Amino acid sequence: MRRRSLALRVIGVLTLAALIPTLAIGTLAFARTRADLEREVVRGHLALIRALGAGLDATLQDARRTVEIAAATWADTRVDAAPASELDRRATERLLARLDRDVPVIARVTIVDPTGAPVAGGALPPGVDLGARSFGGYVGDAAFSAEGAHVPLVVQARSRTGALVGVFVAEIDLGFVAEALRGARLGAGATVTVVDGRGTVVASTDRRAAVGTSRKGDVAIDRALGAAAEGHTSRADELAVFRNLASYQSLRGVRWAIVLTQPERDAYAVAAATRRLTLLVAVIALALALAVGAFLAARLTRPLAALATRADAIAHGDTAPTPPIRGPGEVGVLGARIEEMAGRIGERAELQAALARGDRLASVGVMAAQVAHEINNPLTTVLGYAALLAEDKPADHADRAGLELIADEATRMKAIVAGLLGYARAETDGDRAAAVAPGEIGRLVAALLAPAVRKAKASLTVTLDDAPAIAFDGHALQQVLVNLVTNALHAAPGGAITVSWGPLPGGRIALDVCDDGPGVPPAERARVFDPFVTTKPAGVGTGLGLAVVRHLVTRAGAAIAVDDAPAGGARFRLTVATAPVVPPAEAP
Amino acid sequence: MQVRIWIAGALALAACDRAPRAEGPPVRFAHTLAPAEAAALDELIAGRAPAVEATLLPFSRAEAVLGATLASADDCPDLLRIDATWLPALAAAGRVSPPPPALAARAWLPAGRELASWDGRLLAVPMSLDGLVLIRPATAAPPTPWPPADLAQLEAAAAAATTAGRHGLGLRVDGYWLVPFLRGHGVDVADGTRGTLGIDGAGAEAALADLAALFARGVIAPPPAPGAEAEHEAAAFARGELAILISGPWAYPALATAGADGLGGLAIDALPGAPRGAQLLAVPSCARAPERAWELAGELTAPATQAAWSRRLGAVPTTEDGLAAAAPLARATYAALAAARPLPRHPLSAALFDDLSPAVAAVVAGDATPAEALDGVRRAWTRALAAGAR
Ligand SMILES: Nc1ncnc2c1ncn2[C@@H]1O[C@H](COP(=O)(O)OP(=O)(O)OP(=O)(O)O)[C@@H](O)[C@H]1O
Ligand SMILES: [Mg+2]
Repeated sequence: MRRRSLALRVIGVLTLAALIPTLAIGTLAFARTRADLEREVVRGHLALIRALGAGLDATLQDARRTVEIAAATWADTRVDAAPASELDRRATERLLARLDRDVPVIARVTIVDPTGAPVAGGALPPGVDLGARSFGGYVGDAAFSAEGAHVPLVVQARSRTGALVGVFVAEIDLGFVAEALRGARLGAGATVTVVDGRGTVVASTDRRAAVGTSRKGDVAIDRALGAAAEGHTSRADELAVFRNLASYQSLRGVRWAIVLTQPERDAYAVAAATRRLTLLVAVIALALALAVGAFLAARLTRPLAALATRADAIAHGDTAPTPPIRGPGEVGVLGARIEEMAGRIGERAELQAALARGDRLASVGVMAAQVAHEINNPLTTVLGYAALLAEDKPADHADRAGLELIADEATRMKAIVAGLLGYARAETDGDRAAAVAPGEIGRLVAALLAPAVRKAKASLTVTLDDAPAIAFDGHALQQVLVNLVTNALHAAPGGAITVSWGPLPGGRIALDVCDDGPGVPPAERARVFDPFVTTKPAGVGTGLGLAVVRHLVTRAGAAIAVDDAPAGGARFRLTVATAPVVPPAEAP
Repeated sequence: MQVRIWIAGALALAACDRAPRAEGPPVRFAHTLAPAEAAALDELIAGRAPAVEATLLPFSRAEAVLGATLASADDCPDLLRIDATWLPALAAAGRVSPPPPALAARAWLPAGRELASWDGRLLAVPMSLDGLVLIRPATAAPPTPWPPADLAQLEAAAAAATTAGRHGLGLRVDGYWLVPFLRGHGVDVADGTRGTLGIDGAGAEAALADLAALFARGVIAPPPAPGAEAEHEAAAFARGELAILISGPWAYPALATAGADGLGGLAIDALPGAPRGAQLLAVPSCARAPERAWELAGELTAPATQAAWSRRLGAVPTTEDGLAAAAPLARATYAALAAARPLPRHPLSAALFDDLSPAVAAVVAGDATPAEALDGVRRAWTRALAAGAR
């Protein structure tokens, strides 16, 4: 369950991480492509109609220039339009025929006099003025007839001195406009229409806009006719880009406008395609992110789940070492660390047990200190009275030996109490460089315990006289031996107890206390040195004897252990370093 | 409760939004604005209600096209922007109607009011004043003597300013530009109102000879190909090839675009004997919505608009408030035009240049002597005056 939710979360995070940039870039691309491409579309359309317009204008201006030169040549030396002779009349006719032939867009040329009366080439076409106030010539508005669309090109013919002699009127066939429009490369759905200054269609690629029909009222056409130069407008899902040809040249401009329209759907097709592509890429990117996310999540969470399982086991106390869980990067490191951690937890548990033991010892120490303090006072009293009573008795008095024994024992008790106090304060008497000859202590212990041995009907053999001096406090050794022998007496009443020694390598010796009792079972051997471990009934044993022994032994830098004695009982072996010098004998 | 207040507020706002807009068919405005002016007009009328349907007429064809359109009354525009010289002919034919009293009472500058009137009646409103002035680069030191008090001083200053690579004077080979030379020699163009031919006598020949000589000496820059005068002149001025240019406010946008300092780079002085003119807003008698047309005319000539156009285009305002708020260039132009005189106010005046301009061109080109050229002009004008008198 936990593993599943983690995997889902990883997928979620990865998807989110993919989604945010995808959305951001997508939105940006959407907005940018729209604005940019639309601007580009308008720019492209404008360039196209500018080129178309310039082409039409150039054709018309070419024709105008040709007619102007012809008119100026014809009028150069004339005073009036009427032919001066038959020769002149024929020359004029040849000129008109040449214009007709050499300028393809010219359909017909007429020459009239300044009043409009025909001179050559036929009558003045209807609706044409003679160019008054037109700066000498102009391109008129389109006229439509069965023969097609025409536009008059009017050029005043002035003589060398500038005097008006006649007027050339050339009819321009507007077929060339339609031809130019047909040649234009238009985008999908786009149409180009050329209208004259009255909004009448001169030519168009749009079948619906018939030549000669008025388009006045069409927003794009109206805008185009009013514009100073060019512009664009958008209405009813159609983009219109226009240019007014009147502005091409301030004085000679042709009153025409050129309009390119295209459904926005077609005009912005590239933009739409780009948008669709962007969307597709975004969706694919998202799907990829999901797939990769799922894969990665699985890869990532599998070792994590194993780690979780392992952590559970550790929590339940299984700190036994196992091979670490492998995984990529930090997960692998985590696996290794968890195993390390398990090892540490095991150690910690052992340490904690040891600490608990230490705690127990510490509390024993506190109690011992209190007991020792309480015992000290009555002991002082006992000592005082024993000394007082002994003082009154003559040297050979029968009570004297008993009294001295009381005083000695009381003194020893004081020493034990002091030792207990020291144990409690964790004092290290070990730094007092102590040394003792085991033989002496052995004799003292034998004397001390003689009554108890007798009472137990046991035998005690102490063979320590030839033992070398050891690095041990005398009182401490006495206490150790008394405790060990007492235990042996308790364990084997009526048995044989031996206290002996033997050399060990490394400047150490072993002091053995053996009995022939039941011995200490191996499982118990570590425990018996713990405080309060006893098999004796309450009031008989406290379980402190061996604890004190171990404390004293450890403090002296020696070691104590129990195993089987050769005779079958218990053997307590004190392993202790020999003292470098034999000190003078100490009074107990 | 609160919701209701919100709804009421929203409704009130929506109502306010709609209230001041007058709906209706668009106002049809036929104009002859130059590209820069047309762009300014586009901005002014964008989103206006009622909408404005503008039609551009090339200046060279406008008078003829308008004449034909108004005569047929077919497809009649509501408002016209015309040259002041065209008004007498339109007024004489009864093709324009007078502005409403409120608009007529506006504080028009006298120069504008005069050119918008015919036969003592205000028949149009002046949109801007123009005429010929002397234009110099503001950064260049003026030639001496400066400013010229008469034609002789101008010719002297232009000659002095002529160096290798620079012409002292720039002007167009056109009858309109001959006017200061004619006036400098004590003659004028034909005056239909008095029946005088104007170019009779030695003065006109001397004026034409004078002009031709200046061209021949290179004091005046050689004429460019016809049709490209404006661009050519602006480029030459920007390159510093012209010390003095004779032109009018219509040339300012092109000069400003070509030059580095914009409109501020132009210094304006009075041209002795200069003709003065104006651009007018007139409503044809055939207009279908004259009130709306005059409303638009009022907006186009509002002092604030005039001040704005003076800053943008150098256009010279025609109202006192507009002039007070106008840009320095427009005020300098107004001051320079103070001494200028309009052409004779007669229906024929505009047509006179049809014959005068080719004559000037013939003389400048060296194809005819001033006497020969003027002979043709005299014949044509006599014919025209006779036809006009009939
Ligand atoms: N020589 C021995 N043989 C067999 N068991 C022994 C021997 N010495 C000690 N033990 C076991 O170890 C236990 C602990 O001994 P320890 O001296 O610490 O306490 P105790 O003798 O029971 O009481 P006390 O505090 O009076 O000494 C004993 O109760 C006994 O069961
Ligand atoms: Mg014991």
